[in-house]
Amino acid sequence: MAEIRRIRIKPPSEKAAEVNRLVTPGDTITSDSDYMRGHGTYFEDTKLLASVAGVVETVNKLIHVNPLKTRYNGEVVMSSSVESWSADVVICESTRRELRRRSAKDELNMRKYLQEGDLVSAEVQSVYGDGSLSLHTRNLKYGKLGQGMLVKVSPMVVKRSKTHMQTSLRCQHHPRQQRIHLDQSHREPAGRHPQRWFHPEFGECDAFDTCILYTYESSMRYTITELLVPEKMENVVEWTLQRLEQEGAV
Amino acid sequence: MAGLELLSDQGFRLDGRRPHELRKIQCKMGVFKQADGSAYIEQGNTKALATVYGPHEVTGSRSKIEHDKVLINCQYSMATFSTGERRSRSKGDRKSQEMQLHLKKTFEAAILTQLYPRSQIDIYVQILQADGGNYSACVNAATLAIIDAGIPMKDFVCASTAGFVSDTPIVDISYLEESQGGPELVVALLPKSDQIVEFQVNSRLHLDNFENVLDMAVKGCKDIHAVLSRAVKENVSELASHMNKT
Repeated sequence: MAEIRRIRIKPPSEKAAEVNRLVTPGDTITSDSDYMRGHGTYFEDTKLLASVAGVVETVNKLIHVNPLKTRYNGEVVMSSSVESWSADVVICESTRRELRRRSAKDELNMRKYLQEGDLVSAEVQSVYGDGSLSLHTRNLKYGKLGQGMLVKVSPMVVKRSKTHMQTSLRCQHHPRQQRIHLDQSHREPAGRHPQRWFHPEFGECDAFDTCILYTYESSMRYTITELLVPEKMENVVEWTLQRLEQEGAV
Repeated sequence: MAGLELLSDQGFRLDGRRPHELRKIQCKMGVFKQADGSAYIEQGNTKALATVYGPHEVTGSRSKIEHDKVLINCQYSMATFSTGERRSRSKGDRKSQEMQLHLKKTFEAAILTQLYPRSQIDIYVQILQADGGNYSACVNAATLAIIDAGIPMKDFVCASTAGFVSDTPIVDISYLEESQGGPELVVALLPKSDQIVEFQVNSRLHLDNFENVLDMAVKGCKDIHAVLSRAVKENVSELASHMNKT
């Protein structure tokens, strides 16, 4: 499955080209039949047309259009295992614990580790022909997610990195969702992670581990109730951006 | 006619438009954060809101699953306060069921359905204020919402209406013009390829005049396309610049 692609438009020097690179559905990208059709495009009468609104990107002969907002498609998923999925998930979980699904009893035992409705972080092992997924949690970094708070962010604001999962003291970073461990002393940090910080319209910064950590640290200057005030929220974002700029982390 | 002069001697319509003029269009994409895509459109006094969810797993019965294309689920509703007379409407009344069917057919023709087999796309449209051309407002709002959701489509779908008053075709007719009982053409068009995806005629129209009225409706669709595509371009460049900031 494709990873999330970040959208980067070329620097202002290529302004004229940049305008052309934004397309809407039905726009002709090229009438040259040498190119290959990528995501977000389709062929009609030897012309390559866009099927989504977004930015045209070319990799050698492959042209694809990146929509600026879309559903998540990546290789690490986090999901609440619903009934129809649980079987696959359970099998995977069991292999880690060196259990094999030999008998019906084993199958029942697997319920001890994962149940329907559990929140799991897993990698997609394969996609079946009928569209269902087989997940695995073989690696220690995947597995059931325990206490914490789930913050959903749009996949489009997540900074692209080599691996899309890091674990820090307070935050478990995830391409689609952020999770914060929640024990007594950390109940407060959870309140400091409103998802709107990472909303594309509000967020001035992509979501990634350092950014989240810094945002959290800058938010310490305010109490949680103060953070609800939009201006104060903006201050926090500004401090974070300043600090990120100073350290050249962006 | 009931005393109302729909087209004055000077060639103006009741709301001061000329026969070929559209009502003012205002639109906004991404009005809801929760939905995958959403849009709001005003065409004169007709106001519509559309939200799109998906593609996602098929909800409800598994027998609905289509193995070669995506299932498109449309829901149409009118707000209680949308008409002059306040009236609460039941969800599944005949009129909205018909509208749902039309919307479904329209978008099946435009969305690249074969890309998401065994999935479902939900399109919910609501009319907030009805002043003629409900179907076209719904189609235009839903098109914007689908583009906002990043769902691949062949082209925009633009819909418009046309009427025929005192030997003159008039475009984008309002409720007042609609309710006089004259002929009404409803057209949904893929503007780049000039393909008609939905076509309705209400009441009788002489074949000699048909061509002219159809041309007027098609021209209306293309004018709407110009407005919508400008709005989409603005929205896309705004989002792109946001993402580019850091």
